[in-house]
Amino acid sequence: MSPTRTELRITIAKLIEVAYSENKELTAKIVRQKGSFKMIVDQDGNARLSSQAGIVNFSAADTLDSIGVNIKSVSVNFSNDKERKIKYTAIIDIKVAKIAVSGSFDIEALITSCSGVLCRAAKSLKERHNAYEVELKNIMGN
Amino acid sequence: MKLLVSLILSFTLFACSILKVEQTDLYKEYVKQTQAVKNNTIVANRKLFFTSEYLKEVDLTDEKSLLPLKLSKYIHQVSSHYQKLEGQKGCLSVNGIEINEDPVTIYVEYKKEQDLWLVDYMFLHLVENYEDYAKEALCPREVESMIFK
Repeated sequence: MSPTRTELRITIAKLIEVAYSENKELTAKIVRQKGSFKMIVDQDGNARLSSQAGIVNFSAADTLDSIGVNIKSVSVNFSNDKERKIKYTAIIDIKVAKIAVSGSFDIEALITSCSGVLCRAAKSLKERHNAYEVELKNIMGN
Repeated sequence: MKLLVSLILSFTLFACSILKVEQTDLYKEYVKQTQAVKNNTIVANRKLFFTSEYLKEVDLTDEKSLLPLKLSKYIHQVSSHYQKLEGQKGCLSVNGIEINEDPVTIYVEYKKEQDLWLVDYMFLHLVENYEDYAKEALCPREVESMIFK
């Protein structure tokens, strides 16, 4: 299986949403603050979203499993320089090769998508939720 | 006369040595590899394309582990390519488009093993626009440090 760039971008969004469902206040503070923040996921799915505002630890195992590729690690650098728009570059390490994908998204659109049913869908990613996928695709771009 | 013959001989040997260096065409190796991916023979013929170090990390019994052997399939159509050689190592940058016409660049590091140029490392960059295409031959790790500071 070869994940498309859209699938990879949606995965980045899902990771933020899983962090958000783990700790809403701190995740919102990290992603809304001007400047940069990082996300790192190791091969066991242990994830960390961090900035000067704090650290959110969460499990990303189910989210990465949905890509269908063995992943050694994921590193994402985000920069929040302009109003609402967050730019990012993600590197997905598949052991002897790496895949890089970049993009930008509206953080408020992503946070407001993460409510009720949508956040519950983020927690149980093995059961794909079509409306949720389409919403994330629109936010993250094709 | 002897001097003339020896000069001609030296020149011929020199020309041949240059020609041999020029003959290394990493893009040809890349094309053979992509053909094997398309023909679904890449797993069976993996040792013709990848170093033993590269293959150590690929579990052939696990479908989810095979993507590193098939990364080149992201490029549907090639638009340009650049190569550089440093002794037994070489790097190739290939620009192209995906099947949906999104731009993509792949950086491949080759290592010469038993007279074959084999893939030792790959970096697939799903670039945002054509301006992000490779403009020269770069090795995968060089690119990674440039885009991910």
